[in-house]
Amino acid sequence: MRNSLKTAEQKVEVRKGKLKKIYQDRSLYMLVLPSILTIFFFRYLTMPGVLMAFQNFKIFDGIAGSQWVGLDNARKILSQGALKAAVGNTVFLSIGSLVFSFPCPIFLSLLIIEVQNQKFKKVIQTLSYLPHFLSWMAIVGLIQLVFGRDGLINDFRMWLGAEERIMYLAQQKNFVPLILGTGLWQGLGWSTILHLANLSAINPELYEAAEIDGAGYFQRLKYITFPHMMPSIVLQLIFRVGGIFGDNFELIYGLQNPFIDYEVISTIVMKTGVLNGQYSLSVCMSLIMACLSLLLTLGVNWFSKKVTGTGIF
Amino acid sequence: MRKRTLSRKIFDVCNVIFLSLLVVTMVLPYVNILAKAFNDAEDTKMGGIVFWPRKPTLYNFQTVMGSDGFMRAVFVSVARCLSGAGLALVVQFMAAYTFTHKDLIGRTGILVYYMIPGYVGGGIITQYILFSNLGLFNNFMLYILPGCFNMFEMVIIRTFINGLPKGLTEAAKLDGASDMGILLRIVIPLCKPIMATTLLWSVIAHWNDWSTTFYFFTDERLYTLSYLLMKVLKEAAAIQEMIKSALMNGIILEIKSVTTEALQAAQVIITTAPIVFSYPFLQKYFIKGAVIGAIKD
Repeated sequence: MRNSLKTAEQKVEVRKGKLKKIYQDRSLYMLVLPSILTIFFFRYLTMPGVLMAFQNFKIFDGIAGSQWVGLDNARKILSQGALKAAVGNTVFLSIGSLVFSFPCPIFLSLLIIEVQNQKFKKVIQTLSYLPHFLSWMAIVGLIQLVFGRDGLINDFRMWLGAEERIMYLAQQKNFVPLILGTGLWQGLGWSTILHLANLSAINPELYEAAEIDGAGYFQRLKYITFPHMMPSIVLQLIFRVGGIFGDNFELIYGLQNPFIDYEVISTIVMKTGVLNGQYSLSVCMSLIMACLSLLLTLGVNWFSKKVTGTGIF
Repeated sequence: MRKRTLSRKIFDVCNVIFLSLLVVTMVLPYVNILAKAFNDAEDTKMGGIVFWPRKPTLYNFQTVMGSDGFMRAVFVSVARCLSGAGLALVVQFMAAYTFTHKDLIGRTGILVYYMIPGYVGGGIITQYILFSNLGLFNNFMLYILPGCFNMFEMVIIRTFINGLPKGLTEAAKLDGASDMGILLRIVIPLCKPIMATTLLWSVIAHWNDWSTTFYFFTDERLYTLSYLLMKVLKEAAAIQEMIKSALMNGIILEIKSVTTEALQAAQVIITTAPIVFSYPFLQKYFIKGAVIGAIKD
């Protein structure tokens, strides 16, 4: 063992060298200090708050003075139908958007890359990115107005000769399709950027050679295009799966109205926590979700590394 | 030039038609709301407004802009965007530059330190309790400080700096320049494009955010434009108050034709106009960096 042969003197030398290096780089450490302090103050300082999940937290008693209740909050969450439903809805929406809106940008980029006219291609791309830069609240506004009683959709239906105007946004059955559709609409164009970058990085000679060998479009897709896109698709997929317990508070809260009874984790955390003051319950819920997300991300990462050789960690 | 087969030609035509239709669905809602915001409210109810106002009026905009608190909200939003995005750029850039030094002792440790809060935490309520204990509610600093470090943007800047020609910094080092000297005289001037991109992204994030106000602000004087939009879309009372105060302020003289939808349309347009109408001119900055961010290194 070489390490054990090192004399104490050498060890001191190494440590001195390290200290010297740190001293030399002191200006670099100063540069990261602001970000370290920001993260500490606004993120790490909230961590003791996690303890609220195991308490019956009263805001005037603080974390130190509140009563400890162990896992009572978790039990309460599992026994309350509304909370369980919110978890189910969140997972359902995430899986829905994974199945529904994850493959779409891939297909769209395959179509865009085939466009011959470069100018047209540019216009298509630029316009399709636009929804990504609108705020979710503005998008909620657009939806309310387009699907509303006097909106574009109803106008069109009346023009086609429909009998009466429909209040789409007040119907429970439209809520989930609306959330999923809006998510797709907002991110569709923007998500193609990465796929298009990957596609245009493929060596055209590969396609030419394949074509000479008599490969049709779908064979080229199978043997050249998809293998090339796969690593980045897998990475994105891992992130998405890890986010299954997350939801889009701004969109869902925005579209909720008195006629809709559909809660997800973030909206119910906000309502039980901020509006009803049941802090412990909502912290406990966030905590459970965070743990599940972490486990899921690690699990998918492990699985992906094993099967495809790529992972985020 | 390869000869195009018939099936290829048919595909091309269908492709162009499909993509055009798709883009129409992206743009049409906005164009339609724009037309409705400029159209007389009662007239809009008759239907048929698609691209263009039929009875043009500025009444909807006057009502929105003349209501109490509107100008203040514009001011707060602009102040927030400028200070928040400026600060974020400085903080992120400094950190990014440090992380381009691969031999820095403790580099991995700091990166892990940044990443832990992304996976551990009790969510919004713990923040709510912390800020209320610290007495930070209704403090303008809450708009700019918590968001001043975004790891994703930091990584993008770092990747960009790593992509700069190595020779420049090495030559400067041989000439005896310090790390700070290299940063100020060589790296920063070369990084203008990526700085513009991340700055723009932060400006948009600050402009669009309403939930910070929603959770931590009760003081009307600190409401932002995006928060006003939320109130106008979600709270029927907000519309009534808006009309009342615009009347009281003498901006509009009578309640002519007015509907909730028309005012909501005007508010949506006002809130999004700075982004939508600067987009064509700044789009290369908007988009640059999106690809850099996806490269893993």
